[in-house]
Amino acid sequence: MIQSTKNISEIKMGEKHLENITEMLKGVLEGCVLEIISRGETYGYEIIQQLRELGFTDVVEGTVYTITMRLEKNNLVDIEKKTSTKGPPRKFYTLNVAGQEQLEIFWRKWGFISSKINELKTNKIKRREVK
Amino acid sequence: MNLFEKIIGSLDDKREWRAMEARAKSLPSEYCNAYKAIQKYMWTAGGGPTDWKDSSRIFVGILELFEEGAAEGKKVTDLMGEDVAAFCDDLVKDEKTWKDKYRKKLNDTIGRG
Repeated sequence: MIQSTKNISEIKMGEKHLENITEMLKGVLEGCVLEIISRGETYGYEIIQQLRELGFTDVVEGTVYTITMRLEKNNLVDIEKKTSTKGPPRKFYTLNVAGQEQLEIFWRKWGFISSKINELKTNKIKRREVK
Repeated sequence: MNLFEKIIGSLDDKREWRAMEARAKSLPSEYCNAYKAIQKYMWTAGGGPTDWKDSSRIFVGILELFEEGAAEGKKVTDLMGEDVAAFCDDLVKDEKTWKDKYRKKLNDTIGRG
């Protein structure tokens, strides 16, 4: 019993270190949303649930909404409105050709950034000698 | 556009605006108040788009989001998080806003001198 309580507090501690992840996540969230949409037709709330299941628990609907609105404006997604059991019709998104291209560009950028940051972390970069 | 509309602005735009205001009014009060507060923020902080078409697209977008949230019985803060201002700033990230216009004006004014 004591053991399990300890585990919970450790998990909470772990999350605390990740508290201000939002700022860092901001730049890559659009790519994440593009990737989720590329897996097949989906709508706002489903996208949020997938992000939360991934572990981005702080993501709110509003945040994802600003992204899907921008994707829509920049013609990266096709939209179909379907009636919903409750409330107004829902917008369903699928990725179009331009969206696919944008997604590929995102992964290339991500590949570059993450490989460079890992390089930095594993300390492959040598300091120049100070004379 | 006839002379009359040139003076007072497009009647279609006005009609669209009134329809949007009516949609906002029919929302639950918590959502209606939030919508009004967002309008106020956009207008006073210079974040609103200068073009009516962009402006209406963004505000209709907010209305759609709110109508959905209200239908599902969610609270405004559940939907938007606590930093609603950040939400607003994100919404107009790619738009030409009044703030951009003022920035350009400032830079042009000083650049000329």
